[in-house]
Amino acid sequence: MPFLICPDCGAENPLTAEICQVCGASLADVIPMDMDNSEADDGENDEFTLFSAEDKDLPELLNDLKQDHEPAGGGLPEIDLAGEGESSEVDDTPEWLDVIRKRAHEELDAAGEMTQRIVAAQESLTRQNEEERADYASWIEELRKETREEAVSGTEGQEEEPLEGPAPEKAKKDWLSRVRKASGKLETHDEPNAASRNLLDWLVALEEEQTGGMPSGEAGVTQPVDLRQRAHADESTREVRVGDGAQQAVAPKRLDLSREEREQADLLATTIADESTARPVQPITFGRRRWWVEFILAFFLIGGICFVLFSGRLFLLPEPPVTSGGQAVLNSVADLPEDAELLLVFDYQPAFAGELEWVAAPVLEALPDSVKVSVISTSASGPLLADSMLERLEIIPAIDLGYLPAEAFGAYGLAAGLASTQAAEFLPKGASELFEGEFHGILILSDNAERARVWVEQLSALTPETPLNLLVTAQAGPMLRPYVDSGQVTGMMAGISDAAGLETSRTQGPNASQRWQAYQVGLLTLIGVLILGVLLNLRGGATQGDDI
Amino acid sequence: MTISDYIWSLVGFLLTIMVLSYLVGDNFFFRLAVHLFIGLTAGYVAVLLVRQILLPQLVIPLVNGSSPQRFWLVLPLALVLLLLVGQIPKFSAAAIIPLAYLAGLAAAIVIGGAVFGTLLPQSRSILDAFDPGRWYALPEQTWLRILDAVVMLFGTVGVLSYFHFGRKIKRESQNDAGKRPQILEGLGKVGQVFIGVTLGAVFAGIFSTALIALIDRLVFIGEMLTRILGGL
Amino acid sequence: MKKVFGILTVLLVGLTVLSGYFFQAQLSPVLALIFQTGLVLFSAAGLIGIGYLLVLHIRRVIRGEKRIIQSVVLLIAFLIALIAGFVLTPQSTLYRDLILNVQIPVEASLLAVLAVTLLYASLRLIRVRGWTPMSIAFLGSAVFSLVLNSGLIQVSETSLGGRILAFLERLPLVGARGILIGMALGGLVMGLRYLLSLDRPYGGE
Repeated sequence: MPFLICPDCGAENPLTAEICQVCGASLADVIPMDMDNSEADDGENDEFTLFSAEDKDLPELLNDLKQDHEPAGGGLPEIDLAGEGESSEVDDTPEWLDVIRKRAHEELDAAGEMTQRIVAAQESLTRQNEEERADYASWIEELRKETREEAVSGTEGQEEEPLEGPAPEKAKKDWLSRVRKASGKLETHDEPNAASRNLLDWLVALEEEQTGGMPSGEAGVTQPVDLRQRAHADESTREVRVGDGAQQAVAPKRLDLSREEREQADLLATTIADESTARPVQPITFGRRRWWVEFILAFFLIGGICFVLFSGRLFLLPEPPVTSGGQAVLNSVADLPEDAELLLVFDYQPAFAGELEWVAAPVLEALPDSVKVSVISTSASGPLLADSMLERLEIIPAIDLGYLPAEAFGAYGLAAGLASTQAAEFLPKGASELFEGEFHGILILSDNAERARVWVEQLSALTPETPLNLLVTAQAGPMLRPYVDSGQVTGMMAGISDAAGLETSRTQGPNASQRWQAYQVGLLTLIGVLILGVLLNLRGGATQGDDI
Repeated sequence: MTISDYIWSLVGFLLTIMVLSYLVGDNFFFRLAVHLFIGLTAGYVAVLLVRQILLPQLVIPLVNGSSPQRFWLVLPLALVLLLLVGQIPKFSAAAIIPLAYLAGLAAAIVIGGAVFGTLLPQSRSILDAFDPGRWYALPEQTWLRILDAVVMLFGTVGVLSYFHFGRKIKRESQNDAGKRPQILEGLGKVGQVFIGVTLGAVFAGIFSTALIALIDRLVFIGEMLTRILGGL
Repeated sequence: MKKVFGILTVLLVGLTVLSGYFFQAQLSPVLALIFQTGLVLFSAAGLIGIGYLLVLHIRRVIRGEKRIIQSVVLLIAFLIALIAGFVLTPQSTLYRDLILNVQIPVEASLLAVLAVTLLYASLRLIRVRGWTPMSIAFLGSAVFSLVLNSGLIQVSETSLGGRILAFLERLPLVGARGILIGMALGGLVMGLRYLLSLDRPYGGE
């Protein structure tokens, strides 16, 4: 397909164009060209392999330029600074430009390949270290100086020594001088074709861009350049029109992406943009906390309990049951041999003293008199609570192992002591007692599933053969049941539900029945409130702004 | 009732009323009671740590102990000194070693307890439920035990799936970006139900415990009022 | 360099204690030394924590900030407990009554307030959570456990009703087991991260 080549920038223009679409030069006297005619140049252009099918990467090209003008595998034609070497064809158009145009004409994606290579080259350039860049920059500078000097001396030499080579030799020298001038350091001469300086200029500008020399224009935006003007060293890109006139100008950095990649890139861009956008925080409200509702509920609960406690009447509520959990612990304690040593671990807070005394009383009262009780605490108030409880139950401990901070650490220390066969002589008395103990059973009084779990883990890991029983509050029971089920714990009493059915001084003491019935009334109140809450929200829940 | 018992009961009564006043709303008396509690507890804990641990385990053996005991106490003494020096901002790096000691100790205890105390026994228990010997131990309960074993296995896996935070490796569409594999989603829904069941039981337990504390406090207040009014 | 000491300390102590789970008898003396050192360190750390609390409140008093009266009360209570503890000793009945007759009423009363709060929260459960499988299971299980705890249902264990009741009673065990295994796995991972110094809570970054 014929087209017009701009005499100034070398861009291809359609036949109908009157001025160049790139630089605006007049195309009035330009002879239409046909790409087919340029095929004859292929053979001689094989040396020029920048954009050849042999896939010469730009980094390799740049490396070739860095080296002593020795192209690898047929790269650029040698820059013959002495003016020797083969010449191109009669055409003023440089051979390499013809090859570029040919490839652009033949391969639809040539521009994309080029830009991809440009991007790949840019990336590889960024990866080079500072020294290489510095070397390269300094080498370029040297080259410019040399070419400037030699161009000056070559010009003089040309006057003294007439050209001996054929006419193409002279054309090549012209082209060469234009390449040298493209570095921007040489005086501009009449340039039959300014496009010839594009390659090196572009390479130099590319290198400058990587080292931080940004163009004076908008970053990342290519601008058409009037190549009739002197080349400016700070311009980094130029639009090069390739292909037929129907094609749009190619942005040098456009990548060819598949649809999926584009979607993912868009998603990423949206996500990144969305990250920094301000979002109004809208708190979800589920109704204001009505103090009068809470007051009414407290009134019913406390009133019901007080009525049962202080009325002196017994209501028709069932007696407390005898549960299997409670019975298992009692049996375990009752099975202790004579003169057995039992360890009591006090691991609860003062708030739960009332409940745990109710839970532990039937078990401790069932202990045979011959059993020797040792006491250890891993809660701060444990020693005081132990003294208080044992005094009330009239149990005198044989050994007080004191207090160990951090229940996990204390549990490990005790368990390791139980597991070891010898105590270290260098240990002070308190710690050494831990490592000399031998117990036939361990009773852990705990208010918290987490603390009891730590004890169970350490004791079952280090001394699995020692029977372990738990006396815990109702809140700890559900999360400790798996240990009972797996056999790590022999028995567990959780809350007064398990203990109230057993015959003890506590259950037979004053107000025992009233306390149990008050407990039942409290539980029934909660059941009623739960059902009321369901009935009030039968139509739906989780609505905003509604009040109870 | 002795005078001291009476005085302590009166102190307890006043403190109970001050704390229960929180039902009406946060107020000065509630905060006063809480600060009194914190101060007293802090003092008691300091006494406990010094008298029960530092003195008998460190100071007294250093002063009165035998040579081997003194020798082996160099390590804890050095670490304690480093910890104390590390509280000075300029020398905060000194606290790294004692804190690293505690961190290493805690980490090892947690690992050992988790593996040997929970993971292995609990997993074994789930598998043991599928032992045919257990199923047929009580013939009339065979099907119930099989059901129990199956529910235990699926329920436990479901609960673990509910807490699994992962994504599909192969995504079929854009909507799959943040989704878990379907089998995990399904098991997670089963796990939700079992977690709800467990938390419901825990909630009932917590309320039971709080209720017993309330009953005890009301009994105490009643007895005090009876004593006070009876004394009048 | 500081980092290296921290990492080495964590590794040495951690691996020794872990080995103690396998070679208890052989490592008994070493474990005893580690335990005793840890005991002393924990106590020292606890005292330092109490010191920070006191410094905070002393600063508040000196600067005359808000709620100065509460801080003064706290400091006075601390001094009383400290002096009485060293003079009377924790084994003394008087000291025990002093501490327990403050701690038990305050803590038990706070727990009693919780009972009323839980009651109010129960009323709003569905309103807040909505009708989800978890909330329905929660409600059902809570009501069932409360009924069982109150002793309203008492059946023989050998009867059909007793067996069904026993099966239903075991259902919370399933979720608890899953949660415990999950917690153990989480603890294992965190412990390993500390040992391998992927996380360094002791500083040394």
